[in-house]
Amino acid sequence: MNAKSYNQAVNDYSDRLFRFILKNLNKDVETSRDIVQNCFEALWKNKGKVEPLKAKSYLFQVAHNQIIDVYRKSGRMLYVENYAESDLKSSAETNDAKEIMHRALQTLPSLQRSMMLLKDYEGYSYSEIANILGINVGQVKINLFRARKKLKELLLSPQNKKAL
Amino acid sequence: MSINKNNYEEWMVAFVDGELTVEEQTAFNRFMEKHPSLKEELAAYGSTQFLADEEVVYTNKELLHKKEGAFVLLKKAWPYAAMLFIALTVYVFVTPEKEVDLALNEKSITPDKKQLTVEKETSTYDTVRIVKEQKETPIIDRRKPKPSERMLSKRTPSKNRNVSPFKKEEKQVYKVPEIRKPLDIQVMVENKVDKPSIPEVNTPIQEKEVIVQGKLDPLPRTKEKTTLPSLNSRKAVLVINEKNHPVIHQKFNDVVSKVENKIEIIKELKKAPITVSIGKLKLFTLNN
Repeated sequence: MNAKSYNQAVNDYSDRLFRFILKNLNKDVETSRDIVQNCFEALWKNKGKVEPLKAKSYLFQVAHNQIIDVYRKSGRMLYVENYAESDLKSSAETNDAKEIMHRALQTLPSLQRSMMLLKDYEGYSYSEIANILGINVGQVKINLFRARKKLKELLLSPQNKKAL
Repeated sequence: MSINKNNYEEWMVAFVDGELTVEEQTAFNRFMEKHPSLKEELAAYGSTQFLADEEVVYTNKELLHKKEGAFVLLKKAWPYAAMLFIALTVYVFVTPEKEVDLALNEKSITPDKKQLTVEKETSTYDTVRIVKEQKETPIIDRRKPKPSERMLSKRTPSKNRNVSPFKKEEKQVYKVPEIRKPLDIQVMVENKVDKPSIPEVNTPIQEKEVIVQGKLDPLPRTKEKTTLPSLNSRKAVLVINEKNHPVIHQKFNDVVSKVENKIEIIKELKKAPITVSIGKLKLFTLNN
């Protein structure tokens, strides 16, 4: 990878990476920008090892690891919901569907949240998600199932059903 | 793999995620047709998909860009390149004359040493040729000017039409002189009394030194007096005198007085030792 292909990767993937990180970190813009910069710095350092076609998956892999580091530093638990279901019920005051979905996503563990975003935002397959996150395909299937099921139940609750 | 009420939700999630194959999707569609009450639940799973907000973008992407390799090198190296360019410009425009002067000085320094070259002829080893390179040197005409030329001589030599101010030196070839052949040494017996000629046999010899002129070869038998070559010719003179060979000298006198034929004298001389001298310089003595 040369500077030209690197700059092209910046133009193609910086927005997507930023949205992924931002959604994961509950709209923490500054931290999200820092992580994006760190991701591309890591790509530039390893430009000799990373092929241009695999730059996207490499960036998201680095981003996921950076998010985990953020959670560890902040003391958050990776597999514990960020939001309580009570918080989600209180969102009934707002009829914004996007906000409801966002709050529902925050109730998921970080790993499931990353899986959901990689799947919905970037369209990665189960195997690609498994490769990015460093887990096997079975774990991806199970975690995605659990995540969607929970979201479905939240969305089908009588309070949110009216908003949606 | 069959779809039933225990695992249909997994099939629904897979369907929503687009992970079903063609065959699996066909089977799932059949199941759903058989169970239309599950369509609402399938729609709910479908609503769990998140759509990316295209309005959210990463601003100032150019801060993440890296410069091209050559551009980076050029950016770092341009101060040095500028200094080098200035140095070359100064060198080219300031110091061209010095280079020419240096070149001229090289030619003028010690021309003599450089002009002489020794060439060896490969054909013969007897000669060594020393060749002088052509050199234009001004010469001054030191001839005594003629009366008509006196006026002209007052002018500078370069304006004299007869003599060119510069004369090219011709190549001079020096040859080592060849080995000279030995000189013809002729034996002469000198008679100081009568220098030009040998006294006749009949005349008594009054002097002690007897001079005989002629070669060792027998003289031609002629009645006429043979005029032997004079002493002035370049011949060696054999001197037999009383001092060197008293016996021979006396015997020669006796012989000469008695014998009429000169040839016999010479024959006798052949037997006698001979001292070779040139003029007053005695070279060597030959003993027969």
